[in-house]
Amino acid sequence: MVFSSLPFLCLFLPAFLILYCALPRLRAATLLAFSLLFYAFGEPVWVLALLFSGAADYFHGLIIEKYRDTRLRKAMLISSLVINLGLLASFKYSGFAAENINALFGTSLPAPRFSLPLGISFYTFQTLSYTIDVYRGEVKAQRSFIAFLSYVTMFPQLVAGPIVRYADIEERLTRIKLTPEGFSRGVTRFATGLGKKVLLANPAGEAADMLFAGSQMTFAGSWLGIVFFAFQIYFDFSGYSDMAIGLGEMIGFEFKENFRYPYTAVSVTDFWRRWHISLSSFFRDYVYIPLGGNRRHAAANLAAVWFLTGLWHGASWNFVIWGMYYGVLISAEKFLLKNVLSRAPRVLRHTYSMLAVLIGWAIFYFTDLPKLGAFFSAAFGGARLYDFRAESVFFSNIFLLAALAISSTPYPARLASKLRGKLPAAEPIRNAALMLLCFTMLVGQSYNPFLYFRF
Amino acid sequence: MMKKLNIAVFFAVLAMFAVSVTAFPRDGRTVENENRSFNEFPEINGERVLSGAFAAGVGPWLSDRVARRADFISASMAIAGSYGIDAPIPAAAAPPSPEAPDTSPPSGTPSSAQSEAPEPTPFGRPRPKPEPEPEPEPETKPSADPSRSDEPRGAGRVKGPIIVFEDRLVELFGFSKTLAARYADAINAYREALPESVRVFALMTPTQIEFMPEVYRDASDSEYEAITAVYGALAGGVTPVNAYGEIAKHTDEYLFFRTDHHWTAIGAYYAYRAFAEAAGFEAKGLSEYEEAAIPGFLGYLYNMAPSQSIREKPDTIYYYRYKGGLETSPALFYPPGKNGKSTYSVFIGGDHPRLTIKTSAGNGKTAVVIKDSFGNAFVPWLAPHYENIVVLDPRHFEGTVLEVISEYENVDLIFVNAATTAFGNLSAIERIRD
Repeated sequence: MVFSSLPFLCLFLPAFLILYCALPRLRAATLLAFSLLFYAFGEPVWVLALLFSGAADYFHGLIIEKYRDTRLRKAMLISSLVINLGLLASFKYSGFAAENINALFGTSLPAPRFSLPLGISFYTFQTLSYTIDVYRGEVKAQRSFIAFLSYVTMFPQLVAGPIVRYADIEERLTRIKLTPEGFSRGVTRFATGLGKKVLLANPAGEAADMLFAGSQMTFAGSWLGIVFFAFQIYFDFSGYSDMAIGLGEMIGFEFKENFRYPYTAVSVTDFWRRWHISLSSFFRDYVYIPLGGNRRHAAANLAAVWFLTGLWHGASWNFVIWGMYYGVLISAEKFLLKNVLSRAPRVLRHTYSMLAVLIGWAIFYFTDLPKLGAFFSAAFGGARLYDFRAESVFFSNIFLLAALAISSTPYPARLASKLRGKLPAAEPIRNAALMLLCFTMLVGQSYNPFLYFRF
Repeated sequence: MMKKLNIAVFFAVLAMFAVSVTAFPRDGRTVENENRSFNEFPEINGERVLSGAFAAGVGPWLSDRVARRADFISASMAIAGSYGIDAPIPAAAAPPSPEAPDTSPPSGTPSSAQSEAPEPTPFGRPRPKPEPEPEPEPETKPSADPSRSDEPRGAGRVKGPIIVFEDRLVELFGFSKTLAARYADAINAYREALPESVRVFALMTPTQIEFMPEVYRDASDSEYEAITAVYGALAGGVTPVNAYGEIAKHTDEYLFFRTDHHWTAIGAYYAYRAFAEAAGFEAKGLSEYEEAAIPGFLGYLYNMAPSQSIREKPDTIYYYRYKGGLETSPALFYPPGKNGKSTYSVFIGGDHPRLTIKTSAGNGKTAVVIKDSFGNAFVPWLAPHYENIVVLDPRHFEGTVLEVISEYENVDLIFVNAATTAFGNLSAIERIRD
């Protein structure tokens, strides 16, 4: 199930919130039951993989804590790594690996093509971080299986993050407390996220697809298309994080921020401090620093982190290239351009960063390498300036484009918080209006004429 | 205080959502506007739950339950429309006047494609370029669509694979050289597998986008280029049919529907004339036919991008019965009953895996037509010339074409596809050969 859908908004969420609020003693169990329902709705079979990963780390945590001073501790850590990464590898990367080995060595290994279980990239990292933290002695192992499972399966953040660390919600897990402040903040946050997804990301995505659909691209069409895609992926993903954080707040949990206006970044390094923060901090804390961080072979560590970041996004070479592209840029900023960048005017730094990010999104969008080549050739002068398609998509989305640009800066949020002081009723009105608009658009998406005379 | 109000309003909105999908009867306009039945609650059993089929059915069921659903859909279209403005394109550089002398390129012919096309044709047969030879006017002009003007009305907007105008919808074309070559190869393979006595024809037709003013054609790939590529790769024993040229000479007529991706019977008529020339018989004149009309046709493209202005100006389907006393079994045309909807399936009753038509032509000749839906409007024109017409739809046909052909003598095999649809059915065409 996804948040921006009628089944979630009309049935699941009302039913869940009523039970959750009405049965204070059974909150962890209610949360667990609804989370499993939420997950099984989209992944009825591989809910088993989720439960398996959760159960495995629950026991690993307990054993590591109990045998703290023995060799078993390390063995259990390795076993958890093998289980979680093995799960991820077999579902996500086995086909890709087999194809590449076959291509390289002329072998003919069967390339398994599993459908990727929802959220597996997120929850394996989440349970892994728990076991590592217990191993490092940073958190205590959770004794209640229900509480631990409700952390692993918690539906607000289960399928698309943010990657919530156990340490951040440990305290709340066994003593869930709801407050009107938290709930109200959560409501506003959820409505914001829903609006970002339905009113901004979806139409931006349609515009991008329209521009990239034809087999010929123009200069204006390629740039406009990649700008729309950049907005789509930001509002889609950050909208989802907003909804997750908002739902978390409603039900008594605080998740960390996952995005901080990444398109206001003034360097590529800065962009990655603002984009998908829970993923980059995961790689920082569990890969980069353990490898030696800045102290030993920093360049090699960076390369490892960015190779993995790319691969995490998908089992395909373009994602690896995308990750390495950022690895190179960030290394360059770190080791070569530090002084140059810090002296350049802000507007120049911002322009450079956005250009770099847009090129990155092109690598990310075109999983087909020849198409990526066609994009670059059009974007850098090898095609006509513009055509009717580019012109039409530009004008028929001109207000959308303005809304996207404004909404990716902190100004609307600042305005809202000013208004909140002066006009307190504005907040509930805004939330209700946003939700009704989104509901309307979601019903509109279901327009589905039966096309019996297509051929 | 305001926090509690915020929470209360949120719950009120959620309650409204829940009530709107549970407490009201379903909106009957769904069935009418979307031309389908309601999505019922998905069937539930172990297998369907595990395969995800049950969960996938919940969303469609629920959205059909929304009270006043049709109003929400209209509202959502209005919201989507407010994201921008129409492109300030002059309502198209008007196509050259239809009275232009015959020596100039026919109206709407892509000049760029012409100049880019390699001059000495690689295949030494009639190229699909409109030939500037004078031609006799058909004895009767086909009916003009009363609502049609030659220029699209209003500025166009690209919406997915369609350009939306106030009065018409035009599908864009995407060209792939690889697929064009494969399509030609597929036909060549038929030639190779068939005895010399069977003549093989390839008829690939352009669609409406090809004859739009250049500013719109720019958004699409060139069908001329695609057809040239296919015809250029055909083997020596396959005769290409210059339907493009014949159609391009008549762009002031009602050749393509405004709300559907198909051609009209008249569009198909000009392709038939080109075919007659290639096959060496004389095409019938339109005056030998009696015209009938079915108004109120809103086609596939309309369903993809519905709008009020187009709903008010639906297409009319014209069809033509041969007056020369021709009997066919089964019938060629299937006009709707009293309350029936006007649909493209008036031509030969829509798509069939195999349709075998016997006519009273009595000449012992057989046409085997391998086609997509464009062929449906084309087939009736063949009736006076062939005693047997076997219409095969590769997407549904289970047998093999070679077997079918071996049932008859004196066979012409004709591939009828549109540029927009041909490449989508390639594997089916390859599959049913032998």
